[in-house]
Amino acid sequence: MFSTFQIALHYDQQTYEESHLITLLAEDSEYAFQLMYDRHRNRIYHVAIRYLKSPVLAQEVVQDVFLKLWIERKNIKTDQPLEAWLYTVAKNNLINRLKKIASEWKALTNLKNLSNEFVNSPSDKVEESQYSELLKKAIETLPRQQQTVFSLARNEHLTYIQIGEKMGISPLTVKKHMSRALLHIKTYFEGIEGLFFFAILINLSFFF
Amino acid sequence: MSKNDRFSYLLQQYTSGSISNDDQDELFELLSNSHFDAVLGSTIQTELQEGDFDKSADLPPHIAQEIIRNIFKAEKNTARILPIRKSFKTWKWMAAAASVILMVLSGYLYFNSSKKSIQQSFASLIPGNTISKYNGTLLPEVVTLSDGSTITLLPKSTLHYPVAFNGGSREVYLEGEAFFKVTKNPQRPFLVYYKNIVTRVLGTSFIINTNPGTGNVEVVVKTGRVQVSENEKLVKGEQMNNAVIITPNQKAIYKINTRLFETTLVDKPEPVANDDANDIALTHIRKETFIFSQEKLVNVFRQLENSYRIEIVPENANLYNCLFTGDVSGQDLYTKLKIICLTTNSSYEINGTKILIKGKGCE
Repeated sequence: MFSTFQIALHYDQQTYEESHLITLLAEDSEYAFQLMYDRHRNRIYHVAIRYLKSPVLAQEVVQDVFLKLWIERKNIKTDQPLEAWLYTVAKNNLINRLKKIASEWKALTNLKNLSNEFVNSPSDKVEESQYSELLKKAIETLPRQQQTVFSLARNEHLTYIQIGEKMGISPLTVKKHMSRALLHIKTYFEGIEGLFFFAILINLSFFF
Repeated sequence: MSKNDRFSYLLQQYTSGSISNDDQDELFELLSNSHFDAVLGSTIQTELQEGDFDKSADLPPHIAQEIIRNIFKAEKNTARILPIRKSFKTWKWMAAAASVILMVLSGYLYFNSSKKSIQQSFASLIPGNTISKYNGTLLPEVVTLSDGSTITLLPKSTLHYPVAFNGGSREVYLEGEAFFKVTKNPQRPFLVYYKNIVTRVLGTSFIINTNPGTGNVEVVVKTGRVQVSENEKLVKGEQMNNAVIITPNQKAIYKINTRLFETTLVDKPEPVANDDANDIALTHIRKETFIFSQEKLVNVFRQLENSYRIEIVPENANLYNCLFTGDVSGQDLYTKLKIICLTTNSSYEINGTKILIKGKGCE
């Protein structure tokens, strides 16, 4: 049963005791489940969006929480408000997801600090004048998504969150694109440097 | 600023979306160890309980439906290994006769507030010459009435019925739960008195099921027709509320506090057998096929309407032009509609006893 039950909700919300809904739920009532879902899903969704900054991830949270409710429906206590159960599950789900994102984020931050040097300051081997030209060429060789992320960050000075909202991706994905872009540029520069070194070798070889 | 304050500040900046990249790096650095888990947890908890949110950013309805479908689907996959579905025996039994199902849910509120007075007056209604059958066993017991109707009385339930039916109508009084199989006789309506409502059976068989726990009384009809109204004798002097007649796949809800009836659809509509309840052979649940190939929605809905006897109303006529291809024979009605809506970029909702289809439709 997948309807929105707007009419049913209108009176059921007032008259159905929550403890009774939990009893019905324990008896496999999809209807009771739908009522609870309609009552609580948006609150969880809103908070999840605030913490995960991604509609897709927030939808996953809602699904996780209510899938758990459906699976555990025979074990829910009737003497406590269902809200408390749902919010605890939602809270733990959010903490776990956020911490997972945080550890990936941290790894990417470390990676970025490494490669950032090459983009911010030209290494001695590449001359200042050539640097911006080379950077432009390096950016052109980036995949589209990375190019967009890179230019929004560099030229429009948007934050990860703002870029994510603009592109409809999570801030972590933005950061991944950014890291990959920086790594790519770094590799590009290293390749150029290699060429320079090679050219110098060839030049030198004339003297020997 | 203490470390906790700094963390809370960064978290607040982050959730509001105004955090700088450097601050976000710092926040996620702090998050990746567990010093601040307690602060994080209580912040999330408070927002879940007290947050005030913009309705426009709600979970979009089509995604909400998708999620609930995923949940039930996930369970069905599990169910294949560990069957948890209820047995179908009862349904077969009921389908054997054109059936009207009456499910009455009644509750604490009612019990606590008005049980005594109603029961006293209810008892005063029961004629003196009736037989009172109380089922004190742990198993359902079958009672056969003088007109041939059979009533399966559930444990801890009492049925008051006359030795023989005299007069214009057949009247029985129920306390508790029972299944009814009523012989059809249009000249002598069959009435079940239950608390302060009367159920007038215009079909052949039905169930009354009492389940304490809610203040509402629900009457659910499978096939046939049932009229539900308040018992005049018990609400004497007060204004009479409207009676409702419900037909297959509909249910009436009697709100104990407002004493009003409302009608809506049942949770799981089933295809409705032919109305001619005299012919038992016609009353088995039809196994229909719903296979469509480039079919206009106008025809798809017509077949669903005929099969389920539920009115399907599109928001605008353009919806009728959409084409649907697919086999939805195996699904229940709401899943069928979900699939059809998904492929035609529309959605549906239950509005009273009708189903409303929303969407732009097709040119």
